[in-house]
Amino acid sequence: MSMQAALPVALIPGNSFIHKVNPITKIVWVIGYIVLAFSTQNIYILYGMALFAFLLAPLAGVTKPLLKGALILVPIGSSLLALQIIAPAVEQPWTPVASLGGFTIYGDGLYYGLVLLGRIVASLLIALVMVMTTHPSDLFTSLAKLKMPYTLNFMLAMTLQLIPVFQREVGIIMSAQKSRGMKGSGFAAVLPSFVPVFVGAIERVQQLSISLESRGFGSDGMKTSFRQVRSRPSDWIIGIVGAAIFIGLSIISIMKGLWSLAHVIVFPGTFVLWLFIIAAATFAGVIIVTLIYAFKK
Amino acid sequence: MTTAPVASAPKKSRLNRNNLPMTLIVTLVPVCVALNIVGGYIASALRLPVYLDMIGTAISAIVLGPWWGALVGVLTNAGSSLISGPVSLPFAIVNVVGALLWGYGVRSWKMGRTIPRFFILNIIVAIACTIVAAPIIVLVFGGATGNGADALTGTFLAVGQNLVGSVFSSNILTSLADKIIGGFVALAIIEALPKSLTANVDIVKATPLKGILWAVAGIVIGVLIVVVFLAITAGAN
Repeated sequence: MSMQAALPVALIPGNSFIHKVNPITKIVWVIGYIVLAFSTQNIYILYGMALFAFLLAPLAGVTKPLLKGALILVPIGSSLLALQIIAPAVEQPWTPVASLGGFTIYGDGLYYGLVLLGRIVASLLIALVMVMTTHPSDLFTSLAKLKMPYTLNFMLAMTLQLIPVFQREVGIIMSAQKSRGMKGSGFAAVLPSFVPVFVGAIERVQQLSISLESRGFGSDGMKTSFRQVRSRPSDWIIGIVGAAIFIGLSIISIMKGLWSLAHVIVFPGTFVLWLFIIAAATFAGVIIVTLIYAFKK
Repeated sequence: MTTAPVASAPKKSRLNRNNLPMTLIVTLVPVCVALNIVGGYIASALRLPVYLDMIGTAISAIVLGPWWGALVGVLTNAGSSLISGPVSLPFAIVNVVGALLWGYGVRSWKMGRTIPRFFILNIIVAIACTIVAAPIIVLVFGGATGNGADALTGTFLAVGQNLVGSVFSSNILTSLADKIIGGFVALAIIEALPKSLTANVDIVKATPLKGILWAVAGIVIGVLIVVVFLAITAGAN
């Protein structure tokens, strides 16, 4: 069993315009996206944001990894739509449009499901594009410029470095345990696989700690960084324009009572019913395929 | 004559309340965060029906203290969001609640002294985590988690329970199994750690994981019967 490809790779190296944008500008956009997404229930704005984020991917040359990263949306999105159609997470009264077996299908449930899904899709796509086009060191240098405590910065940076190291270690330890006759799955394998990985990792901490002590970690004085991140005028313009759009739309949306179009956009009953069937079948399909794959493996 | 720059000595003491050097804690925290993230992948590789993604949180909360555990919890979700987007970010609060309960439970309330006490502590952690997670799942994800538990949520909805109740009912089942098993795996790992790290921790030794698994199965089945009964009663009303 290989654990090498379990985690998605964060940075996709490149030389595109988006790769060159300052990480602080990117952080402004991601925060702006999240703030606006959770300040509005207007699906045109939400899916417009998602489309814009998606269109950035070919410009940055990250379309394929972005689609791979967005696969997480298939089970959660289908399940979300199916559940919202039968039980909207908004106050009653709901408008029933059809029924299927023991379930009543609600039209407003679909609208609210699309709102929730739109928020997740828009936030996820912009964050993935930004993460895939930003070197982690540049990001942490920028966070340090924003006065983030360097200890916290160090912890976050070290976490990202350690994940692939531990992944490799898990693969080695599990292969070693299997060669000794350990079961490869189930609860019987929990302790023989978890304990050596965790204890080995934590014992390594003592070496790292001595290494930090010897380099004067925790001492006073100005901290410097090998990597330098500079802001260009274009970064300022992109950041300010983005912030203005996001703040403006958020204020308008809040003033309009979250700008919900639930009473304007009315979905036909048959459409909602079929969408529910497709969403529920997709979710069931994903779960069944995952189970079959897991047991075959 | 010029002299080479020398790092000035830190003004504050390098030892904290645990009598551990600060540099050790600063390195132990990211290790626990990375183990939280990797732990989830080991669980899926072993085809376990639980997440086991809070073991690092439990270890840090018990060994270092509840607030260090809370930091591990926040950094876990912040780190995950840098890898796969901000979808998991709201669940940082669940990690924090788990850390505080494990930390204060073992260190202040002495709930790690015997196996039954520690078992009860893990049940409290599971219930608290579900109480915090259920509203997030409903408000941010519309009740969906993207895993098999959603089928259970749909079943509870079909028998007439409301969305929050359905999410709570399905989440408590996975949470109980996850936190009890995770808590005892953390206990086994703490037992195997160097004595210098665990000298100040008053916690029971020797984890009977096989017996725990039987107890978990019994509790999950018991809770399942209760939540199904409650859902049917809610549906009948």
